[in-house]
Amino acid sequence: MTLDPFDDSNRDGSTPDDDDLELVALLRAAFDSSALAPVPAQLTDFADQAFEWAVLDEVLMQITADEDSLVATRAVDRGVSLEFESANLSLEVSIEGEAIIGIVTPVAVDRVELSTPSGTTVLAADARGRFRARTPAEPFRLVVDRCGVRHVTPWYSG
Amino acid sequence: MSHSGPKAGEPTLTELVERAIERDAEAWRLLVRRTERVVWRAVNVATSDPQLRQDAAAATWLRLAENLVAIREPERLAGWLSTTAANEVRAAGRRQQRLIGTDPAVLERQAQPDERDEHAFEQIEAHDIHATVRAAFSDLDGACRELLTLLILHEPPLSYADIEERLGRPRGSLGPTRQRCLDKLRRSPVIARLLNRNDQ
Repeated sequence: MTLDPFDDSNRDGSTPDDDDLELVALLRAAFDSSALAPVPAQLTDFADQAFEWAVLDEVLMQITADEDSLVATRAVDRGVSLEFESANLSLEVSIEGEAIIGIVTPVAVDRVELSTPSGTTVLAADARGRFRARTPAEPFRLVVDRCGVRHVTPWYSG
Repeated sequence: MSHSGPKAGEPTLTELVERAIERDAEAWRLLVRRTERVVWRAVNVATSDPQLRQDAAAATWLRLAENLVAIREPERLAGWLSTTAANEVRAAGRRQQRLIGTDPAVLERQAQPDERDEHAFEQIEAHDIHATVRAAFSDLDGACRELLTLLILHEPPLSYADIEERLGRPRGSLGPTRQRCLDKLRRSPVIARLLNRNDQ
């Protein structure tokens, strides 16, 4: 149910009178977009740049198997195997039920993260570059920091 | 609605979000143009402080860029942006209060005689009336501003369930509290004069 103080059927504990309606109309008019100053140009510029800062500064790892072969590797028993590469980093990932098992090469990385819309989990990679995580119920991607560069996989949603 | 919908042949919000997730910068640019007034309106409702508005709007765009994939219903992006922008104003306000004590715009108004009462009110033009009403609204306490925003000013309008959840209060308490907040606003000298003038 959409709330509208002009609607007497509201069950919010009161019924607005004419004075309230006049005041509410005054408020709404004051905050109508046409009553506000235009959006400052520098804010629009900032919004445009926000995308570059948040997204384009990352190195998107390319999946090295095509869609057909991905489908071919998908099986209930075996899970899903994925391989990603960027210029100087590769990542092998197996998704087996509730577990994500991965290995990053070369092993000398600063940090491995599992990123979901809800947040980020830092994963511990061992001396061989192996890491393990619980498969999230929501879309996720892996992020590897190496030498100040963020290498990110595409979002994966199962 | 304060954001412009797609014209014939233009991509929908869903298409723009999907393309932006795939790193299409032009899709992002179009998304910003389509929805920037939603963000701008939301920060204007939430604060009269120009610096807070700018900071909160900027933070809102960063949040969207970082969380595009989390937008489950792109056609309802306006609601997500409005809510996020309001939250960012509160967060920026808390940071600023820790530094200087309270909303500087309110402090400035409180420190000066209310010239709006002293000068010929009849000379106020329409855009000044809007600005005056916005200033009076921003002088309300934070709880009243939040309640009236959710009940009256939020775009798109919220359901009762949304408002109850956000405020953590039962529906039956909303009406009486709204009434008290409207009464406070009505007692503002400039609002009282505006309403009286309209009655004459």
